Amino acid sequence: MRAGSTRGTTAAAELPPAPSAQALRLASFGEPEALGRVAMLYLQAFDLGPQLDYPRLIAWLRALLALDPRSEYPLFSAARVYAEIPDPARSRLMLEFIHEQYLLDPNRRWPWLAHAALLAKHRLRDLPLARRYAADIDRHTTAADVPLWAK
Amino acid sequence: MPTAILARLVLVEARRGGLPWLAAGSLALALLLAAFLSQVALTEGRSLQLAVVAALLRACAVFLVAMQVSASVMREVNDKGLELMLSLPIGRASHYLGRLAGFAVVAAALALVFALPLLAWAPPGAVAHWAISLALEGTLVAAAALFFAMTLAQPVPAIAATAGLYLLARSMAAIQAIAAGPLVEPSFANRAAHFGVEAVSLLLPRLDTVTRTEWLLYGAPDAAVFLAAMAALGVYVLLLAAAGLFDFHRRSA
Repeated sequence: MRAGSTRGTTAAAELPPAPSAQALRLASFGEPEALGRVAMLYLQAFDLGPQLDYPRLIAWLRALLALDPRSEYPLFSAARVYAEIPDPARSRLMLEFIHEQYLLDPNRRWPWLAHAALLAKHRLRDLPLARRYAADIDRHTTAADVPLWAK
Repeated sequence: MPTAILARLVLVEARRGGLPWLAAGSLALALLLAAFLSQVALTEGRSLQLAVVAALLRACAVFLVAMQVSASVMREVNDKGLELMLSLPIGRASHYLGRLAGFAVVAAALALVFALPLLAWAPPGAVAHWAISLALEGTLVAAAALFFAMTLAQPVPAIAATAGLYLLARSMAAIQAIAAGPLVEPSFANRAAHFGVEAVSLLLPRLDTVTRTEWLLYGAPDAAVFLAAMAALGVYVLLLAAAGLFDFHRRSA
């Protein structure tokens, strides 16, 4: 993804502890949508390697989602970047985060849980987990535009 | 009529002082930065561009209005133009309100110029709401800057006071949320701080409810909510104008 990262750049640095959503909202000076997206650019600069602290990463994503709940960037990154890794333990952490966030806004966030269910089935080979996610989509998503394949 | 003449003088001064070039520079900076940042985004590239451009242009509009007002007043004071004006048969109210009207037109012009590029990303209705809100927000900042510039008579304190008022008003909602958060210990000091924050918030305009980027990203606001927010801004403009007039009348020639 990134070639030749130099010492001292975010690529090689440790991800710092996540600020609270309230601190981010204060720092945004009334522009949470802009800060949330720019902060995602900052977050994605950290190398996706074994040294990336996933609990801290999840805390960052959770805070950024609280800052702008309608942005899809954090869950896109969670589902398409941070969950699609060889390490099953960290992948499960990210899938559970996606599930947690889905429950807060099922009608808008169901695509990410659907993707999580596919990852659980085909990457983690965990059918019970995939069924749990699929069942939750069926149970909680009431939007009319949810396709049958997702349910 | 003197009010209209003075307002026109303010506009001429703004044009000759290079404000159009500064506005163009602000536009170029915002668009370039948004284009650059969107190149590294994995998703929501257009939303990122829109959010960054809107946030930057809002800040630039407010900054340019505050600087223009402060510089104009300081120039008039230093060149003794204010004393010349006061010696003429023009009422102090006409003088003050004429200048404020001129600065309000400057704010509206900046809002219009900065809103037009946003049509590339957002629907016209949302952009119109944003532009109207920015025009009123700029007028509020102009009223505050004019009040502080006339009262404090020094550019640095006037600009600092205007910036402090503006930034505090924009972040007050977040400060209130932190002060009332569930993790705050229920000690006397914290309760006093919470009370102080709530008291200060009553005095400030709710700038977190106006000129919101979410209107551009997720749709125009409800008409009643929008009108209420604009009415609140209008009330604060009138209050600041009244305070400035009172202080200006008190001022010796």
